[in-house]
This record gives sequence, structure tokens and C-alpha cells, in this order.
Amino acid sequence: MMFLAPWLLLGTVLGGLPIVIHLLNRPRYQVEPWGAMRFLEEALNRRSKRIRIQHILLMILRALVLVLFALALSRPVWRAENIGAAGQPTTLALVFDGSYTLRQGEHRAQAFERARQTALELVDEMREQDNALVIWAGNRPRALTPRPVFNKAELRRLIETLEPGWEKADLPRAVEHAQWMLEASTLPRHRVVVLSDGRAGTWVPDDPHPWRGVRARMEDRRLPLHLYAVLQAPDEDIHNLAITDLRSRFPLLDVHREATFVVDLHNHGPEPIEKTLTLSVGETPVDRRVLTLPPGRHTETFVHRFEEAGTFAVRAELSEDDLPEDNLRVLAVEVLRRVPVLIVEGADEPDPFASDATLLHWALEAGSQTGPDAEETEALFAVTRIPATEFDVMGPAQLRAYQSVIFANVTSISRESARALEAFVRNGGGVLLGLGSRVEAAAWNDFADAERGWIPAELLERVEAADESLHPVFPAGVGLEVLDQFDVSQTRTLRDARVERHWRTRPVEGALVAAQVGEDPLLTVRRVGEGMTAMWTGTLGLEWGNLAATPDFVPLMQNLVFQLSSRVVPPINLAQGEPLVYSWSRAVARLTFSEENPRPEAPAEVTLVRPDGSEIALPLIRRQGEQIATAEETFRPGIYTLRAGDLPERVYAVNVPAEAGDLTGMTFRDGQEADTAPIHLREGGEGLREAIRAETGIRDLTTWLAMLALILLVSEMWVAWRSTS
Amino acid sequence: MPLVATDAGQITRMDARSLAAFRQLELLAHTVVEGMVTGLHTSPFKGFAIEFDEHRPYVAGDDLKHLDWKILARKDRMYIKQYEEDTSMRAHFVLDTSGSMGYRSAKYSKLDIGRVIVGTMSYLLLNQMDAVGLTTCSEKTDLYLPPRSTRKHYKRLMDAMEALRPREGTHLGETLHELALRIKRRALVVIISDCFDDPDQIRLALNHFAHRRHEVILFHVLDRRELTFEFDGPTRFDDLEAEGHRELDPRPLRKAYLKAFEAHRDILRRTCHERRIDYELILTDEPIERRLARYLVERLKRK
Repeated sequence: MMFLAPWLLLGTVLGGLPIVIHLLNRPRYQVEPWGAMRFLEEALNRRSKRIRIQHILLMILRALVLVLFALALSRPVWRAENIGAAGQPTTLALVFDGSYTLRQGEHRAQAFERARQTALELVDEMREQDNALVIWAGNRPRALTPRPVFNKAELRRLIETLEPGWEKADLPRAVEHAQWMLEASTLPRHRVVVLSDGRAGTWVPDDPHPWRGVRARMEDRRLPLHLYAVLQAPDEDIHNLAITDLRSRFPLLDVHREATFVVDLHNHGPEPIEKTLTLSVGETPVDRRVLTLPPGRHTETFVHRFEEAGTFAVRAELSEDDLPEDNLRVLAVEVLRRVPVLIVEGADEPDPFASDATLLHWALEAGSQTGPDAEETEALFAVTRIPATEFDVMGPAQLRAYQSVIFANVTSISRESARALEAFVRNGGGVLLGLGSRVEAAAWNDFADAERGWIPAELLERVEAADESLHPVFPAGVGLEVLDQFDVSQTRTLRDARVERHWRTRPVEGALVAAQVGEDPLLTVRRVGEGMTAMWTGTLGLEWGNLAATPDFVPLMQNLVFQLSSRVVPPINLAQGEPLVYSWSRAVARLTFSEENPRPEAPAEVTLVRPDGSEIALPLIRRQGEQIATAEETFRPGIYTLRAGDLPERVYAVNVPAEAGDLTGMTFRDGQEADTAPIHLREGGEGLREAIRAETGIRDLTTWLAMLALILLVSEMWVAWRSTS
Repeated sequence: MPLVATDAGQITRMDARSLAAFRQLELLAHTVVEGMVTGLHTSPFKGFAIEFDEHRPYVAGDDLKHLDWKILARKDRMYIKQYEEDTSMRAHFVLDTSGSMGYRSAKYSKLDIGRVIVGTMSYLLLNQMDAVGLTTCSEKTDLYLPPRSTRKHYKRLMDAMEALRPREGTHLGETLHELALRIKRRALVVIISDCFDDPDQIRLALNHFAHRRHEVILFHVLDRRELTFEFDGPTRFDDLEAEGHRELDPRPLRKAYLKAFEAHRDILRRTCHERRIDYELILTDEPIERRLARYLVERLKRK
């Protein structure tokens, strides 16, 4: 025999306490020769009956005290059969919080492991007539069991194979999903149990808005639903410095300019933390800094110049801390050597200075990016010019070869072209609509609807400036960083530019006015899908002003077209869980082929290398004229590398959501209902079982019995005292 | 010389000062004995020679009216009839000497106090030329001294009391019945006892005395602890009147004890009241001289 806590054996000394009490309380009689024995005997006889009753009462009390204590130790419960709830078959929906904060802790102490154990205990406690659902609360809810499962062994296997998540859980949606799935259950009693670590970031306790769906479903339910959350107490003494974002200041990178990367950091802990932050391109570290960061948010900026075009994984990485999952952030960037741009001419103008298209073409191909090195003389923009008539016969496939389309004083476009152009924009393309004297307002206004259209403003009338001194103004802070340098309040640029005439426009809802002339918009931009459209209400040439003749015209146009050529969301940075979609057709369209380098045949499948190094084959499937491969599971953060035949590898980055590493615990009291939804919050599995017993009419009598035993013990002491005094 | 309790707890003859205090008081029988001290009252029982004592030969000078003519006629000899000097009152003291009378929680036992009462009152009575008798009893009558008014008798009485020791149990009722039968003439009966006997027996005996027109004074002598039953903790009670003992915590019993005790006293008091018997509670820790003096003064006033 052994003792796990031998020091507790000291408690056995207490066993001698009754003996000591007995010896101390042993009666010491004083001797009294007494004559009035007859009265003593009479008193004894008179009291003996009462004493007998008291002794019987004491005996009963003592026996009851022991019985009650024994009963209390056996944890009795009372089942309210009259309520009928306890015996009803129940469908249990187990909602696992997939937040990666549940990875905190090690082995059995890990928050997720504790949640798993609670779930397994709940499954073990299921009766034959009960069934259960398992729902994963990731950034979107996923049902791990398509329908309620009666088989406890199957449920156990499923729960035992679960891995802690990588995401930031959307708990409201997951609970709503569980409610929706429970509506299909035929059993009369439904219960949802959320297994979480109670982080404020996932529970959003101060914002009732995300929980409105849960509340609405609760009100609409035919059968009562009981919602519980088992919150594993978070470790307050944890230090976590997280990289919450890694982004490029300019969405489109090229080999001609330095790229600026911004790293957002958040110290979620209570004390300053010293860590090393490393920026790598691919596997090569390019910068390393030792930072001491106080609690709160911080930003670090890195500058790097890419030597080659291609897809690169830029990694920002922190040294190890208590929650390492958010110490790495990866940004997949596409570095271009050339940006293909299509200029659509409104008219074939032989005089180059009278042609908007020619002036724009010159501006985009201007050698400001060229250097003494012969290889760098290549311009960033590869410009193609076509007349408007030719554009009207272009299909979507041809458009995909460009990243931006610029209309230079084009009268109108056909509806088919407009539809193709809208699809082009929605898939990430950019459109610049330069107006002028040839533009037909009515033709373009057809596409100015706020919901269905794609141009940023409705054309109203042509305006001739009464005062020739009107010049363009670019206010700062409109969200287009590439245009910030033209803010006249900060620089002397554009001071000499004059706008003599322009179209008065009315921006559609949601559009941004990036530049003004007088009171009217000069440049209006609008995000459409993943792309962007812009409208220049003057001319891109010299017909209505002298802007094209100023030195600022070149950087202005290059920056504007550069911005428009960038997708709003870079196509190869994926949100967690977002399907990875690879288009062989688009990848090929970006490349230039020749007789020596012929266009390759599409393979049957491509290979995806996941962050853990495992590879999966993805079949290429023809869909809507494109050959597409899709990977659904992108929950694990890190780099996904796609290999397709001899084409260059494409890199996809998946990061944990920003602020998902916030370890701030939700403030709650065990047993209380959440402020935002009718969910009973319990700390630990025992509290949950207690709540379920209360729900089903089963009452734990332990406390009551213990209290009753205590009352009886006090009564016994009182009766005993009374009998001796 | 009567007996008195001293500080040493011993009984000695009462000193002159104590007796002087009692000499001021005069005992008056309430009902049966109507005369008291000569000169104070006219006794209904006048004259002498009530009690024939003995014959003696005639000597010259004797009053011929005391000549026994019957003997002269029968034997031709002259004898003078000699009569015992008669008294105003006959007093019978009944002193309980049972074991319980030996109990003391303070300086004096109940028997000590009884001796003082008997000694003091008998001295007073003898000074009035009254006859005093003594009966001591425990389970039975231990000693019976018939009433006499002589000094010699008084000495004998005192000697007997000095030799008294508490012993055996109590059968006071039976003793009183016997005495009631034995006393032919009306008398003053002074009972000194703790009355730890069957109250009904005592009541019947007192009725018996009353029926025979005796005047009875009951000195109920008790120790204060017997009256209050105050003890601090567990006590072993050794029975003073029999073998055996009781070990118990008296505190929870106090209420029941006092109830029983008061019920007993209540019977005695009620009986005495009904039979016009003086009931006097004497506690052993009270100054006995003052207590007696107060009683006698009250009695005198009542008279």
C-alpha cells in the first residue's frame, strides 16, 4: 500500500481527539453524605421518564445525523418524474469552439483537452434513447455529424479524433447552426452545449447583434431548447505576443520599386514582452529586429526590393511564447515585372498631342522606372492600344490577359462588352474611364446603378470652368495610398495643373471621391467585387486642360493604374477555410509563349503541398470555360504551395485571423445567463451537469442533506446540553 | 445548663448570656396547656397532689390531712401520703436522631440544632416549674424520658442528649403515634425533626396528637443545601440512613428535586395549619438563638 499524500496521515492524529475529550470530560464526583435521599430518588424517578425520552430523541437524532451524512456522501438526486422531463429522449448538440486559443496549455491541461473530456463525459451519460450532434465552430460552422447519432462509440471515436482548431470561432453562427440542425430532430427534448474557453473575442459579450439569430430561433422554436456553455477557466497569467496582420503597403508589387511590408503586433498580456521579429522572403530572412513591446497594439514596417518576378511567401515570425500559433504570419505576394494594360481609344487621332490614348500610353511607358541597367529599362506597364470598335468584339477570355482597361474618351460600349467588363472587374480587374468631349452620358449612365452597375458615378452635364485657375485637388485619407503624394496641402505637385472643362457627375452610393475640381468630383473610384473602377471627369489628354503636360501626370497615371490593377483582395492570400481555387487557364494566360516555349497542355491534376508538408492531388475540372482545381480544407494556417505541371509554383497563404489570439476572458459568474443570448454559462463540467439536472427536474440533494444533517447535529447538541443543564 | 452550639461545632452547656436572652421570654402554651408561668396566668389545672408519689412514716409535726387513713385502719401504722409537686404544663420533646439529622453542609448538623432547641426550651420550661420529657427516635423510639420538673431530671435529660448520635433510618410517624398513645394527659409536644419520612404517616401522627388535644410545635430543621439543592458538578450521594449511594449530576435533577421537596413541605405545612400546629422552619446556618427568640416572641404575641 502507498499513500499519494502521506502528509495527510497527520490527520489520523485527530482520531485520538475523542479519547482526549472523553478523558477530559470524565466525571469527577464529589462525595456528599446525604440524608434527603427520598427526594433524590423521587426526582430521579420523576426525571427518568423525561431522560428516557431525551435519550431516545438523542439516539434518533444521532442516527439521523449519521444516516444523512452517509446519504449526502452518496450524492443522491431527486428525479421529478411528475415533470416528465427526466425520462424524455434528448438530442444533444455539442458545439466545439474551434478557436486556436483552446490550444493554450499542454497535454491534459490544454483547454481543448478539457473541453473534449467534458464532451466525452456527456456522451457517456447519454441513454439509449438519446442521440447527439457534433458541430465545429470555426470561422463558419461545420457539422461533423450530418444527422444525430445514437451510437455512443461512434461519437466517442469522432470526439477523440478532433484536433484543436486554428481559427477564430464564430460562436453565434455555430449555435444558430446547432439550433437549425436540432429542428430536424424527432426527439422531444433538445439541448445545446457549447464547449469553449470563454474568450471575450469569440463570445462578443458586449455586442448582442451577432446573437440576434440565436435569440430569434429560440423564440420561434416549437420545442423548448436549453442552451449551455461550459467554459474552461482561462489562464490569466499568460503572455502572448501575436502578429495580427502582415500586409504590403502597395497591393501590387513589381521588381522596379521597393516593397513596404507592415506588420501589426498585439501584446495581449499584462506586461512588456521582448521578442525577436524576423521578416523572411521564402525561407530567407531579410530583416531581424529585437523588440520590447508593452501591452497593446504595435506596428513595424519593413522595406524589401524583389529582384525577380513571381509568387513569394513573405513571412513575419516572432520567437516562441505561450501561444505560438499566432507568432507566424504569411503573406503571399505576386511580384510582377510587367502589368498588362489595355487602352481603348475613343478616336483615331493622328496628332499625338491631341490623342488622349497616346499621351496616356506615353505616361505609362515613361522611363521613370528605367535605370542604367539594360534589364531595368523595361517599363512596368505593357500597354496595348485598341480602338473602341475592336473592344466591342472582345470576349471575357481576352480581357483576362490584362489587369486594367482604360477608356480614353470613348463614346460608348456595347452591352455585351459591358457585361464582359463587369465580370472582369468583379474578378479583380481595374477600369479607368477617362471622359472627354466624345463621351455619351446616357450610354455610360446605364452602368451607373449602385447595385447592378459598375461605373463609379452618373454623368450629368459638361461644365466649362469660368475661372481658368481651377486646378485638381487630391484630399488625403480617401483610402488610396498611392494618391496620397498628390495632396496639395502637403506638396507642391499639381499646382500648375489646370482643368478648364469637366463632366459634372453624381457619385453612386459607396463610391469615393479621390480628387476634386472646384465643387465637382474629378476622380471617383468604386470597388466592384474584387476589382475597382475609376472615373476621371476631365480628359486624360490636353483637350480640356493642361494636366497631361505637367510633370505630375506620369506618376499620377502610373500610380492610379497601378492601384486599379491590384485586386482588392490579393488572390493568393486566403481566409481560413476559404476554398483554394486554382485556375490553370488564368495561370497560363499570364505567361508569354513562343515557338521555343510553347503553351503547355493542361494536366489532369495539380499537387497541393499543405503547411504540414503533406501533399494532395487536386483534379483539374473544366468549369465555365476554365480548368479549375479546388481544395476545400484550408483551416490550418501556413503556406500552401500549388504545383501544376511545369508552370511556376503558386503560393497561397492562410493566416489565423487578426485578434484571434486575444486571451481576454469573458467576465461571467458561474450559473449566470449570458447578456447577449439565453445561454447558461457554467464553469467546468460539474456545473453543467448540475444545470442539466435542474433542467430535467433532477435535484442534487447533497447540499440539502448536508444542511439538514448539520441542523440535526446542532439540535442534538442543544438537546444534549438541555438534558445536562 | 442547656446545650448550645459552639464555633468548634461541639455541643456544650449554654452559657449564661444565652440563657439570659431566653429567660426574658415566656413560653405560653397555645391551647392545651392554658397556664404558663405561675403568677402570669390563672391555670385551669390548679392545686397539687394530683400525682401520688410515695408513703413515708409519719413524724411529728406533719399535717394530718395527708395521713393515709386506709393504711392506719388496715395496719395500724401511720403513714403520710407524699405527692409529687404538680406543674403548670407538661412538655414532651421529640428529637429525631435518624442518620439524616447528622447531615451538615455548614457548621452545624441538624441534630446539633435539635439539641440546642431541646436544651434551651427545656431549661425555660423547668424554670417555670413545668415538666419536661424527652423522646428520641430513629427507626424506633430510642429513648423515652417521662416529663419531670426536677433539676435532677434536667441533668439526666442533658446527659442523655450529649450521648445522642445520629443513626439508622427514620420512622417518625410510628414514633409519634406511639408517643401519642403513651402521653395520657394533655401536653405540649415539641417535635424537632427533618421529617424525612412518609408525609402521610407524619400527617396522621400529627392528627393523632391534635385529636388528643395536645399542643404541638413542629420544628422542621433543615440544612440550606437540602432546601436549595445547589451543586456544582457530578456528585456521589452517600445515603446517611442506609447502605448505598448514587453517582449523578445533580444539576439537571434540581428542578425535580425541589418540586418533590416542596410538595413534602407543603403537606407538612398544610397539616400543621389545619391542626393549628406551629410549623417552624429552622435552617442550620441561621443563628439559632435569634431564631428561637423570634418564634417565642411571636408566640407570645399570638397569645
